[in-house]
Amino acid sequence: MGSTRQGFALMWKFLGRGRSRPASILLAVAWGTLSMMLLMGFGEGLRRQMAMGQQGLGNDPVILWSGATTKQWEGLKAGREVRFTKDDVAALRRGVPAIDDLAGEYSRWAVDLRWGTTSVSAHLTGVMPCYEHVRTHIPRPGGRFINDIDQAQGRRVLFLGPELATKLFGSAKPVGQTVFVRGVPFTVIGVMINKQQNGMYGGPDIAKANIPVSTFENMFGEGQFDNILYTVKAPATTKDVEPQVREVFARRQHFDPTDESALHFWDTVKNREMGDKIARGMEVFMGVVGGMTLLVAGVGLANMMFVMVQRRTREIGMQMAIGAHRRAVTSQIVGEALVLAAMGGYLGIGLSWLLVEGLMRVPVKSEALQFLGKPTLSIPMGVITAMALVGIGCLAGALPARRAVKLNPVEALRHE
Amino acid sequence: MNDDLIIRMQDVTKVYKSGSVELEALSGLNLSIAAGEMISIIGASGSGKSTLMNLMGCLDVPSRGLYEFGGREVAKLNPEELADLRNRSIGFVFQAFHLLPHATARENVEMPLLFAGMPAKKRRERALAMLGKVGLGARAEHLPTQLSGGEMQRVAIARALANGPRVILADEPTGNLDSRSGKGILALFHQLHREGVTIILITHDLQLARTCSRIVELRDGRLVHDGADLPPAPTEVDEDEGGFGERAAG
Repeated sequence: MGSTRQGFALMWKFLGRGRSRPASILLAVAWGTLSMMLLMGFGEGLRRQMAMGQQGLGNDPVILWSGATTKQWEGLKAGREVRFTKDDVAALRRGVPAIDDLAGEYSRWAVDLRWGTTSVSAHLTGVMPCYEHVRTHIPRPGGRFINDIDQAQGRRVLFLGPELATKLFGSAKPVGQTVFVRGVPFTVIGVMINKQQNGMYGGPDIAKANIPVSTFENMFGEGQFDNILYTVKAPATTKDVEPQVREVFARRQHFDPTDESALHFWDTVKNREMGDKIARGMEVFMGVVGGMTLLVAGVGLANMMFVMVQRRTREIGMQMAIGAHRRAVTSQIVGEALVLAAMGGYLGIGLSWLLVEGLMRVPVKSEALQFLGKPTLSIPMGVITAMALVGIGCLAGALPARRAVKLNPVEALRHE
Repeated sequence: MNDDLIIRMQDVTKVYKSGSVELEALSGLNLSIAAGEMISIIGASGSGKSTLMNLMGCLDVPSRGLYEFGGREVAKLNPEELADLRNRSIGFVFQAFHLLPHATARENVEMPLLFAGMPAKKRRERALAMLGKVGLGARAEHLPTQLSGGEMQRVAIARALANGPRVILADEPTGNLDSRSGKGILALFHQLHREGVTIILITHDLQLARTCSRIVELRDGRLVHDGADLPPAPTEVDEDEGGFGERAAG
């Protein structure tokens, strides 16, 4: 016990005095921790950004567009267009029990919206209340999304994407205002929260204006839906539900159910699964790169510790000659490795934090940077990294130190 | 007189092995040193002086034979007991000083006191007292690089004296010094001797050896002379290549 304490006391006393090695060891650990932290931080930020962007489109909807037939069927020629009507949606509801939410969507480009003297041309959609969760049309506090009563009564209510709301209202509060849509007065009931959206159709949701399907029909007449959207009770089974949906339409509109061109499916579950796989792959990749970085830092650290101990062999010999126990000598070196690695680790964590915070404050409007998202520093990661380096440092110091103390003091004293 | 023996060697042999070659650095040595003696050990390069010093200083153990330091058989001590013995009973003075370059004179002198487990405040007082004794009281907070060769050796002597050892073992203590500094160091050893410390000087400097009351000469690992005077026959002391050849031989 006493000798270990003596060793630590000596180490502490002479730490960093007139030696350049400890500084370089400290920097090596700091650099290793910094690289690891940044790598993991950016990886995590990117992963979160991807997950968020995925959610921007919605919670696993399948989006369905109509196409045209390419095969002759039941005495009818090929090339006929498939149409989506209210009856089709109703038949789908009856015929495919696996479907959960189901909605037809109307869409109209370049609709004139006017508030006061401001006029904006926007993409207007007629949507169902389920879009709030299926397509993540989440209202900002102080507003709401279209509800069942709006839909049932055909109310003239308007839900705006945040970008569109800013264009129209500037800094004024939109909720409660009257906006003329093609000259017809609508009340703004809510503005969507800003969201990142990786996948989209008909433009980003933040630039759209939404009204109830029933209201849309009152204004523009009951026509065919531009697309249909549904979710499946068990999202993993969208692939199995797809043929059932084809079957319903094929029967009603007389086309070959195997005719791929008649209906186009966008299965976002597949996208999500792919995204998850990419994210997982990326995590593994980052982990491997991080591990390699750590390994290189560790080898460098071990080498530096080794050289440092080599250089002090004579000093060790002298200490042993004047009565140091072996443990007093090894604890000096291991203690030094510990202190340097811990300090370097803190330094690395601090630097990476500063760097990330600084980067966040630089106002760069770059798509690439935006896609990188906010690098998320994980303190446990930093602690693990620093601990690993501490471990390597200790080992790297302990091994040559053990060898040095096993030397006869005389030989150690003669070491060049 | 026999009770006062501090070093007793009986038939001590030290063999170094280098691969398959065995080198007998000391063979069948008998030597006793009493407390309070001032003795010089002389001999040519490769005569076994350094080996003898390492054995006497408990830095190494004999291959055969009996070595007792202060009545304890050294071969039976474990590394920690040997370290304690060196720490408390033996003071080393090396030709190359072996001071910690980044520690002040005082901190260098404190080092053996630290290993002896002395508390910090007492260490400091004791180290300053020792530095005063060797005439360096005013330079306690200087680094070795700020001191002259003679001053560095004085610091080393102060360090050797720190724990109040029974024996000072000095290996060519003036070897790296100019003649004036060398004389000063020698005077210091004589002063310590008068105060009752046993001094063992290992040297090939006959001038230095002549000042001791007992002179022992080694040749080819054997004791060939032990007396109050220089050996009558001319010795083969090689002044020029001194330490180096000796080191190579171990």
